[in-house]
Amino acid sequence: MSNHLETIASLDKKIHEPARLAIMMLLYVVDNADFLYIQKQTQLTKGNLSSHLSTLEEANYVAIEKTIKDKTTHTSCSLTPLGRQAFEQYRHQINTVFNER
Amino acid sequence: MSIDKQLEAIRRQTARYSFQDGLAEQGLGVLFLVGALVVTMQTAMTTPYDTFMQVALSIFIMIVTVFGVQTVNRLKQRVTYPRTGYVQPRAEGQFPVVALVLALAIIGMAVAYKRITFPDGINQAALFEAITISASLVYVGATVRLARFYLLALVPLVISLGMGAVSADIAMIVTIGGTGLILLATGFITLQRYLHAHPQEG
Repeated sequence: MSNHLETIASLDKKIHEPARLAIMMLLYVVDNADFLYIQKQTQLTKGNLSSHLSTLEEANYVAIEKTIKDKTTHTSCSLTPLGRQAFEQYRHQINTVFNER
Repeated sequence: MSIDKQLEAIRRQTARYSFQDGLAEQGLGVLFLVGALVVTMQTAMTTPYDTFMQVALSIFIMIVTVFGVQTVNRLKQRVTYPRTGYVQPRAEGQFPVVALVLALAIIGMAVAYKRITFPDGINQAALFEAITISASLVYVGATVRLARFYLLALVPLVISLGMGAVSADIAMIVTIGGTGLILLATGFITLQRYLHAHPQEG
């Protein structure tokens, strides 16, 4: 039990936040997704999503690529190898804590 | 729900997304209609097994397929992506056991084709063709996790079973063309629902 508490305490705080966890989970199962798709799926506001994506980008978990097409900015997001690795570790920790009997 | 189950649910949702606007379904319908046209042309030719025409028609189908995929992509860029966004699904472990089983089933049917004698009233060629089309639609349904493709898979079977009284050529044309029309219709309805549910913002 104490081991589990240690595991919980050591969870990656950048991922262990509901909105960021939703973004990470979504990006984990896709190659890339644009801002609008992530927003529609997570139901976050533009500002909120933008802020969380910036946090994940600063942590080098998410790569953000902006291109201009037909006078509008298109934002494409994908997990970096580090982000994928961090999420896999997080997933493993969660599974260890909650799936063990 | 565990995190793994959640991830699986998101994966399913992503796979489903490419068919949620009905555009790909309509593209598939057009492809089947072109297929019906090609069989009609083959039937109408005086020398149906003319090699040059066979090759030309095969190339024609390939060109139509490539053009169709590009057209669907262009339409998605104009219709779908501005409304609900763009996502590129991850291709890991996408070649499923279902595809292998279906491929073996089709090969098995092809081998059995000459050996099985169906009762009168069943158009054998059309039925085998319908089973192949159904198998492809079941495969699409299993891949994108959309139940309506399982129902659509019944369409060619039902059509072919009603074609006992006509020649094999006509039965095949009606089976492919009928399936194409139904796919166009369901794709159109799906598109209308999608546009209604997701009006363009701004």
